[in-house]
Amino acid sequence: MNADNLDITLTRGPDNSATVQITVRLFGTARRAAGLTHLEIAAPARCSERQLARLIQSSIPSLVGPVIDIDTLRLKTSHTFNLNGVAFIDGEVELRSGDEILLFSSQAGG
Amino acid sequence: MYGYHGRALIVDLSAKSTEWEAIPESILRKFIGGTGLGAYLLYRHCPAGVDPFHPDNPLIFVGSPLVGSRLTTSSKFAVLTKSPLTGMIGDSLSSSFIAVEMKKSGCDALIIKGRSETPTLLTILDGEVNFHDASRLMGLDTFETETKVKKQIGHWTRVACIGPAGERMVRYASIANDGGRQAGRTGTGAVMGSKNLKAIGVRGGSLPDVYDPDGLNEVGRDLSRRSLGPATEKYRTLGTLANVAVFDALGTLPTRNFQQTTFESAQEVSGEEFHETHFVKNSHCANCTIGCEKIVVTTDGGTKKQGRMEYESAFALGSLVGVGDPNAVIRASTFCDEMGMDTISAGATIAWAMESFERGLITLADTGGIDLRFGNAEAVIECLQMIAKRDGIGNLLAEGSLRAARSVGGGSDAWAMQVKGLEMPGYEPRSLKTMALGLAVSTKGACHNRSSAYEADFSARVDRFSADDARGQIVMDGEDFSAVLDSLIWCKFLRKAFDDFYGESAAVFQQITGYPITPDELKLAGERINNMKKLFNIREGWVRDDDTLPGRALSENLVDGVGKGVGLSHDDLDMMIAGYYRVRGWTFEGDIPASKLEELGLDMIVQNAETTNV
Repeated sequence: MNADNLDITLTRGPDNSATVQITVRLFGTARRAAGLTHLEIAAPARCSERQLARLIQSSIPSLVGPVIDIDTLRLKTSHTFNLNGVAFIDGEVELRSGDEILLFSSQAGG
Repeated sequence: MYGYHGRALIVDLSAKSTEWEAIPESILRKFIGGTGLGAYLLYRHCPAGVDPFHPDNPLIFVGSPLVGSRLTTSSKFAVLTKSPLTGMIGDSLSSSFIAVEMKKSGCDALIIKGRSETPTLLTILDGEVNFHDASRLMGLDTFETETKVKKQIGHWTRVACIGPAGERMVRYASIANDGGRQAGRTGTGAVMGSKNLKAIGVRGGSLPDVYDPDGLNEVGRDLSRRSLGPATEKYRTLGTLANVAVFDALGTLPTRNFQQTTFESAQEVSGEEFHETHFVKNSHCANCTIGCEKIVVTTDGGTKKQGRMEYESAFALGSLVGVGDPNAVIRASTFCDEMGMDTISAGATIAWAMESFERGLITLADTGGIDLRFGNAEAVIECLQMIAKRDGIGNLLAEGSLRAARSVGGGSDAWAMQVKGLEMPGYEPRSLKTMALGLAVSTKGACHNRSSAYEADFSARVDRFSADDARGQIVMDGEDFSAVLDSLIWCKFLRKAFDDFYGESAAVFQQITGYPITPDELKLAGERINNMKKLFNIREGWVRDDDTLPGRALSENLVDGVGKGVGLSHDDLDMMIAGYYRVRGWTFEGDIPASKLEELGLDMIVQNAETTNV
């Protein structure tokens, strides 16, 4: 997967690199729909939640519908991104190589 | 009167008598139903300072205006009593068909007092109350009891009952209904056992009219549609079990009695694994469109066991006791349901015992030869069996972790992971600081559902690893929201399906009862209900020091996971608590000033309740 192939505006991240190599870990419905526990992708060093969703769906089209909205290609409200298990992503995020994006249900608790 | 019957049925098991008590419209409007109305009735009917196992401690089943409306997730009821674990307010929710049958019996609440001399089955058939000998039911598990009662009274009878754990007054015994659903927390089943009441069978009667049935039907259809949308996606797929793997990744999965926050076998007991290897079907409560319940089955070579599995059970009987075998977790959880025991308190008390064993405070001689180390799945089952029978060390563990720690000594209360005596759910407070506050100040003890404060921690709203005094507002808002939810009663899993919770709920309340109510008045009812609960605790001896967390949470930093090195100091917790008291309008010491009682309309209610208290 190469971010350069997508209609995504690349911006420089904190380490001055245009793209970084990250791991996306999938949980719950995302894992079941993808048939994968994780995937490696190249992502812009600074990117938005929307860009992340588009990057991931281009690698795993089966996420469109259950996890990613079929019309907007944005993450559905049923799901959320988290960076390295620490920060919930709301808007833009700065990424470094080796970062992990967790993709799981936004319905907390129970 | 619409939506309510306007009366409670009081059953005295000692005198084998019944009476009806009117519930004024003003009270119904102030406290709504469920845990709200129940808190008021408990304050009114529980004598101050009574021992939870004294016959005078009432056991109160409360319906709600929504029960019988056929709105999705509305078939729920609350059970309240003075908790034998905490000595404070005990409230627990359960759901399904019995909620509707109880309401059809002609009352908004069933208040059970006294103690029968012999084991008793109480039946309410078409509103007529009868007391039956239940000697033949004693010793049966909850599933067997329900089956026998239905055979005796009629197939369409709905049954609430206790298992052997309740009979022996295990302090965290539950009340089971409708095929294994449980009013699980705070030991309501132990109080039922103390009354020699084995089971209640309810059938027949009629529901009160609804004020605006056409309008309600329209709302109901829309809500059912929304209940199948993205707001409930998790509950309809993996259910709450989805939390296991996510919490592990977030460093919030309590492991080995809260000594760690990640579990090396988390994947083995994850929702994904249960779904892949053990899933049988989804199950629904009555009138529910979501169907969150996951029925799972063992797949090893042993005797097949099938039952419900939730995150809290998987955590408490899995990572918390170091067990990574999903078949063992299913067996332990199913056994708790059969015996009628809260899986959280059972698992947490065993986890305390395991740590005490590994530290040498509990020996092989104490356990009767059980090697009570973390990860020993057979030892967990053996302990559960002994607890249900109060046999050997089970008699100590049946008292809950706090009482057991006080008995064993050696500083083991520091790792008795409870608040006010109620064992902690599967949320690590040191890496979820808003939740830490919610757990510390909850009137019920360590409950995840009375504030749902974790929601803020699992979002970009706050830094969950640090504390600040603004968390008080978040916890208060969550508590008041939950109080309304638990009083109307909506299922918590529906909460995100509302676009405007207070507005839509106020409209539904008016459609059912005909009582006009604004969203702000409904929100105020939530605040009133939480103050009512606090008033009960204050009367029963609550002091400021009760609002705290166990020693481990306040003295040890996390050793693993993404929160490694993070802790929670006494000062930080006190700072958050002070912020919470401030937004509540309470004193620095957490008492409720007279001005706040007056503002909430509780001053006269308290006076009246105290003068009529029996």
